[in-house]
Amino acid sequence: MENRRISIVFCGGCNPRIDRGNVALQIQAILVARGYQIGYNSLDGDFVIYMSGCTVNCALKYNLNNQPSVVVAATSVDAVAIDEGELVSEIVMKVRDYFE
Amino acid sequence: MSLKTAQQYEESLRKLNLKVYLQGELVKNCVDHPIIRPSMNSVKMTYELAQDPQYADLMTATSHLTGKKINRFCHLHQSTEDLVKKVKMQRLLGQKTAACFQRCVGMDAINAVDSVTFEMDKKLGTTYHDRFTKFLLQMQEEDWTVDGAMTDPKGDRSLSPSKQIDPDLYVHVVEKREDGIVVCGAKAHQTGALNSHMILVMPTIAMVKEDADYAVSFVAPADAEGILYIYGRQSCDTRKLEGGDIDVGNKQFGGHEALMVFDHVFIPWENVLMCGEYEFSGALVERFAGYHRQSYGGCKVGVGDVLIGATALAADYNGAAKASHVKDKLIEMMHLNETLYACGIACSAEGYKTASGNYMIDLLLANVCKQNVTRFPYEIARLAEDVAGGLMVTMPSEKDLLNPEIGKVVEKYFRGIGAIPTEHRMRILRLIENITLGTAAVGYRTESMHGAGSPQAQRIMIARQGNLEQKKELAKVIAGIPQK
Repeated sequence: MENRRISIVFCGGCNPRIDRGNVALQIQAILVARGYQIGYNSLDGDFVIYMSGCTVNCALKYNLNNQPSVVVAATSVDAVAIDEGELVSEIVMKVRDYFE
Repeated sequence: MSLKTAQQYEESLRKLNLKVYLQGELVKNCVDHPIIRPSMNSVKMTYELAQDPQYADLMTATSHLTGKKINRFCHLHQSTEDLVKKVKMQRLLGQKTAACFQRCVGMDAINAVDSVTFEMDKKLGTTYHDRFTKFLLQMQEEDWTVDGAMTDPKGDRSLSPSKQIDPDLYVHVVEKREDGIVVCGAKAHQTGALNSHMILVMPTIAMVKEDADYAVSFVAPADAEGILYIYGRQSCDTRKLEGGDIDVGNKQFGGHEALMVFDHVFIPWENVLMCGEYEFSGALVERFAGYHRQSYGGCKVGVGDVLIGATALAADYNGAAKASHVKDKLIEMMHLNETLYACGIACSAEGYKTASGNYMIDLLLANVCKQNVTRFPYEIARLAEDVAGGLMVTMPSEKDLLNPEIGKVVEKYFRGIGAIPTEHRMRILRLIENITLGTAAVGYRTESMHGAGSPQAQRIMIARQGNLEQKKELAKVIAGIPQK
């Protein structure tokens, strides 16, 4: 279970279309139960979840690096639009696909 | 310290010894005064959100002086990215408070003073910029709220500062000592003055040689000896003394302004940032006003978001949400609000680096932004009142709703759709009233008109920055008129 540190990087939240905090908490609950470590707003994880509230995608725009990542911008995950209700499972699946 | 918690901020205000009059009485405790406290809560939100990871990207920045994480309100913009984030932060805070959160004037003041003192020193060999940088370091370390104090009472507007019948109508130096200066005068409309730790005074207009004593800038503790505050009245302010939470519209948050009087206040030289350099007063005014005109493309938009949301809820609660004209009015409100935001973002994205290294907004676009702000919130407010209906200003008080005799009558006759309690309908209508006509209208309406300069001030700047001659040349080329 080494090297499973996940960084959730938020945008600033000026006009969010999704509840970023709630989505992050749900992801955290699922991943922590599977042995992952979660940190916020740092890029020192092994995998980054960029969590932007709208399509401007500030979380990625202002923090871009070359780490493996999944990009959430409003209800899109890696630029593919999905139903809001499926956000959490889609993000978790992306993380697990990378590690597991 | 660098980042204070919200509680630490509140406690730090309790240690200040401010001399404040409100409605003819000396206030013993500003922090807990029911009329003042909502405005403190708004500033407190700037500290609270800075601690929240969800908002840290907007609310905090990295100090270019120390590399430490600081509140963005204490930051000198180091890029156009910082300028954009400033506007986004202001929109966020407008959304969270539905009021003026007051801390922008200090941020705009430090950014203006930084570049102007740098250029002043370069030309005149003065040492103001070093003094300012020392102040800024302390401001960042202590996470101070700073009142950027610019607007003098101005007396007879046709006369320059030195020609006024009463010399105190503009802040001026009355004595120069070996250890500092003594100043008299006043600053009017001081937003957030009582919630500030420090004051950064700047001149209010461009000046000439005769006005040299009035070309003065300095920092002082908000509770310095000789400073007196007289609290500004707001429409419906005494509702805050009634003890309820519906009729106030916004129980938790608000804004405030005060008259700030300097009665022979001593300022040590290390806190003096301009003293007689009248030729730089115009640049300082122009830059502060430019930053502040940008600010309104964020803060007013955030309050507008709340007002639009409240209006949509009022339509929902009335059962009118599906009416095509109601939908269209909500669309128009959003269009106007986002247009203001577009201007705020545009003048930020087009910013440029100053000689001192911090970033300045595009002046033309910032003035266009503020010119729109003098108009669009009024139209948004008009549409809100249109959709809300007359009940917004004719409904009974919450005491009537809670009265055991007549409460059921109020409940019965002021209900809209069946699924929504009358109390909820009253709450949303009172919120609209608060923003359009009540205490928050100070910030959302009249401050939109006159704050950061009245409409004509922007038109003068648009005329200067508009590049009209180049437009004439363009037309000549297209029309086939020979060039000189």
